[in-house]
Amino acid sequence: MDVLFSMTWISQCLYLIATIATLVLGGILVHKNLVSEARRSLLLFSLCFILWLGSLYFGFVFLKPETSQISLWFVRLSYGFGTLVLFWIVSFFYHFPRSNFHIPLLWRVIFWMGTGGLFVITIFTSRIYHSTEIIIPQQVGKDILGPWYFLSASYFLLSFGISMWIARMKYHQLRSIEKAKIRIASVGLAVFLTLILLTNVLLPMFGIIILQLESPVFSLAFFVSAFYSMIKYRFLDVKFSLSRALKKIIAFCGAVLAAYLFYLVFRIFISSSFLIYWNPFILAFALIAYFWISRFFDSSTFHRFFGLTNFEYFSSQVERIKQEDEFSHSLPALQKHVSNIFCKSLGIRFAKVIVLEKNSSRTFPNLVRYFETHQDILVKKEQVLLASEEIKNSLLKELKLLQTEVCVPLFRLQTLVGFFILGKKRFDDLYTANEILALSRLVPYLTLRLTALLYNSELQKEVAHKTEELKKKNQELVSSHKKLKKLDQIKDDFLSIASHELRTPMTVIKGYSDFLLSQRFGSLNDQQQDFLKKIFTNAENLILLVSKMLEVSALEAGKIKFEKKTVALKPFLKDIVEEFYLVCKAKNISLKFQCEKSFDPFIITDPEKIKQIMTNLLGNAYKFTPEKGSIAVSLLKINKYVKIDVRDTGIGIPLEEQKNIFKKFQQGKNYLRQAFSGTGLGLNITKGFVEHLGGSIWIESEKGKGTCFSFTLPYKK
Amino acid sequence: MKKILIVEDNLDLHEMLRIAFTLEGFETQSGFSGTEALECLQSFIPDIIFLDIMMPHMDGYQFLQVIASRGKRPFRIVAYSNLERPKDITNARNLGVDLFLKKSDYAPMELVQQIKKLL
Repeated sequence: MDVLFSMTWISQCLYLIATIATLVLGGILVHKNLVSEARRSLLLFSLCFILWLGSLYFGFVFLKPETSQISLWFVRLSYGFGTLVLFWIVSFFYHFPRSNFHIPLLWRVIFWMGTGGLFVITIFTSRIYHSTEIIIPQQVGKDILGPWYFLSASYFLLSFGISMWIARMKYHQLRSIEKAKIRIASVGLAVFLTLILLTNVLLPMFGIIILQLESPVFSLAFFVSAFYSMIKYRFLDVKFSLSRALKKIIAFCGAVLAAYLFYLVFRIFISSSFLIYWNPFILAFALIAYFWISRFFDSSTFHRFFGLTNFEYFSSQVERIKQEDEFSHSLPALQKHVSNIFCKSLGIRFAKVIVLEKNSSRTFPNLVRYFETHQDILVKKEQVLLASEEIKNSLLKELKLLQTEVCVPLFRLQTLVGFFILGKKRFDDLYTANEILALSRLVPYLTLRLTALLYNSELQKEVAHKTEELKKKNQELVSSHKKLKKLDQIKDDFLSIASHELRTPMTVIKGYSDFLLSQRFGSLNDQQQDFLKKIFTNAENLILLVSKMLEVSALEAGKIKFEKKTVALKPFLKDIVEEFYLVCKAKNISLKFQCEKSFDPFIITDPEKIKQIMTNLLGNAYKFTPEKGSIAVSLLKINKYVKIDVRDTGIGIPLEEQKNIFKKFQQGKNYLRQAFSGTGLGLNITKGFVEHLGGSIWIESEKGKGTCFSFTLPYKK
Repeated sequence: MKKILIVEDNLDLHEMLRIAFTLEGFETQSGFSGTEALECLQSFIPDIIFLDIMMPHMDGYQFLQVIASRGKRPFRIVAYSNLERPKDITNARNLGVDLFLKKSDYAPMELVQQIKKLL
């Protein structure tokens, strides 16, 4: 029991903590079957270190006169293991990080042999101290130390030197990350060296002896830094477990320390005989301390230290992208937001959304082509490096150009709309499967947002463009409409005035001819009468022509108003026919009106136009039927129409002229025109009227036998 | 003897009308525009006014408006024009025209017969 207190409680605590830490870290190092020489070196280092500590500890345990020999062996062992520890340090620096630096095998073998020899001899030598008795270290002075002590010390410095030299040689060959790793490990080593020199050489020169016994613990400085440099840039899973373990480690160590404190306090204030009964309380106190300390940390406290992804934050931010609409307004805003999220939560340097435009395929054609056949996320370190040579080379270049580690393609309906690229992680870590998964879950939302944005902006452009066009066209339309209206009005007025102006002189001609023909202003001979009649008739014709032309143009312009009145067709037609009786009788033409007694239809039509139509048809019939001929008007019902026939026994119309009969200015062959007056516009107008009233008109005729004009009008019961 | 005021700006046509009406035994007065016609009316009260629509200075419509504003009139008004648009006819009717005759339809003697029918 007494022995324990020849080591101060600080020493004991330090030893304990050092051992536990080493065990834990070492345990993590063996985690997974990743084999590398650096790791092996470090593992063996930790093993030797524990043995070193252990043997030193037991050296003190047996530091009683009766067990001094055992103590001696343990001390020697401790020196031996100390040598090995230094050897593994050198080995670590040689193997880590991997590089082309090479020490010839010969030198390496020499070093191994030397170390091995030193180890063996140290265990069996009595030359570490001058005397075989172990003196309490507090009294160690220069005279006590034997030659082998200084040999060990030299080896110590040598190994330091070699390690530093190796580190320096490697430094220039390596990339920045590797350089950083070396730096960290070197710093650890330097700290170790400094502390050793300080406590064992410098301070004793001034007579200050502190922490000399605890010197081995200082190598932990190296161990931790080496470990850190190993895992910092790689081994994410190690980092994860370590990050979580660190909390427990710290809590545990704290608990141990607290328990020890607790114990000491009681030892000071209470006599030793009752101490045994306090053990459970010490244990309880330790447990309480453990839980209390561990509450200060949560699983993500050390994440940033290790450069680990803050996954919760990442997920929450991803959710934000999914939900918020503020980023649907502009592409730059979306880009910025996405970039922020990823840079912060993944600890990466940059993240960007690239929109694929028409010329983008020129900038990275290989990537675009790659994504034509592959639809998943491209992780540089995975797919590219495992791909075939040609793909690898072509893609690597472009990825490097974009500074991309991960390239997420954004597809919409099988077409590539853009990429979402992520840069290197802070410590060049790999992207974990979780992160890739989270990314792939984000992709559809991102694509949606992106396409919505693109579509929006395109749409807006289109809309603006089309609106401009529309405005212009509208303006053109408005102005041309105005012009047309004006023109229309002008034409209207012109026609009206022109008709008036044309007809006035005609009326005068007609008038004076009539005067002369009346013979009230002098008698005329036959020839004079004849000539005057011609003048009169032609004047009349001209007036009629003008009227007809106006009517045709009015009809074509849609200016003629068609009224809708209910007409009792049978009596109406009968009246019209009757008006022709006298005329026909004078020419000895029989005129008949036929209609079934029971059929007395009422139709909705324009009576004025019907009258004009009938006048025209009857007039034609009269004109072209010779004396003793007959004209028959009949009214029939055919389905939903009434049919009116005007049949004559006149000269008929030859077949080849029948198709032209309703055209303007057609009146049959020239020789007929002279015999029968008329403008040739009548049938054209008649047809127009009939069709406008909703019916159709046609002709049946045979030359020499007669003609029948038929037209229909819609009739609803 | 019936009195008639002929208002027509075309000289030949005017003369033709005057001859026609005189032959049939009317006493005629002439006005070559609306203003002249109004002046005539100050001294000559006809039984019929034979009114052309298209005239310079004061046209037929304006003349009719003036007559209408004077309230009840002792004479008939016959509008005589080549205008045939429905709106022209209704316009004239609204302004108090008793009969609307189309120039080109009638020879002067027929015109006179129409007038006689009206009286």
